[in-house]
Amino acid sequence: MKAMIIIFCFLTLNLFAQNQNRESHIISEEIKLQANVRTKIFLYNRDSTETFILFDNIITKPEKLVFIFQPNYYEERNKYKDAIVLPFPLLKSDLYYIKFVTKDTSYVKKFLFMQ
Amino acid sequence: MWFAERDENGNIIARYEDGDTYENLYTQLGMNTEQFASWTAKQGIELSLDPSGSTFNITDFVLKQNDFSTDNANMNCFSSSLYGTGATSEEMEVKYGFNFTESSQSTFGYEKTNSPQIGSMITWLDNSETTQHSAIYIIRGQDGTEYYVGRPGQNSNVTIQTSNYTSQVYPNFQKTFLVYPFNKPKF
Repeated sequence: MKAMIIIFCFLTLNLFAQNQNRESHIISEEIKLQANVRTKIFLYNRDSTETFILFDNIITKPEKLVFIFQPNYYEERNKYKDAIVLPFPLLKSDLYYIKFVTKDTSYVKKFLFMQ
Repeated sequence: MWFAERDENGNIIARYEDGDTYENLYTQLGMNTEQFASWTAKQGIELSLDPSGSTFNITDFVLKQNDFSTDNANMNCFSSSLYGTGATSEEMEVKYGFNFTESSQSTFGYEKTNSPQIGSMITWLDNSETTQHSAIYIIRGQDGTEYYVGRPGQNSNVTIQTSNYTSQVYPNFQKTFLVYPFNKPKF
């Protein structure tokens, strides 16, 4: 019995630790969009050899925007019923910038993408 | 041979264990007797014949940078490893990242080594060659326990991890040892 408990605890710990890392890598970005404000989202790498316009739109009510990485997009998109869900490009490993632009605000967020 | 801990300021401290010698420590730090004497003298440490109770701040040997993000949201083992080994100028979010393949390692500028050395990045690969974990190697204790530093998982704080822990969580995983060269620019 003791041995079974130990094995169970070990397996739980193992799965927990691995899932801790995995979960975070499925949703690439979760953004709150303002209503009636044109929002543009750009993505580009260090030397701008990879550039994408991820979003450029005006929505009529505040909504959440979720990007999901391509390999997980089809299996994960239905989990976010209350959000606009879009696929995130399949990138090569590099440093990337996401630039968020509205009429009044503009900011850039850096991240590393590792294949 | 000495064990590692992290103090309240985030410094990596090597602490004496029964039976340790200075030699056990300085060889792991990549120094000889003279270099060790010079290093301790510069820090104003007077070496006694008996190392019992000694502690040494070895942060500079282990980490290229030590200002890890105070906000652990979205940070993980890779963000801390890449920053601590000097690949990134600040700790930044690493996305996706389960196949830190040779191609990715090369993009980020890492070079493989055959054995762990102080300050090198260790990755744990599962059967499908997926990178499940990474950390920065510190030292090996008398009983063979290895000490690593980094974030153990997503949204967690930087801590010391031991090989006893990683071998339970990542059993039979293949380890690779990577170094980030001094002359490489930071991301």
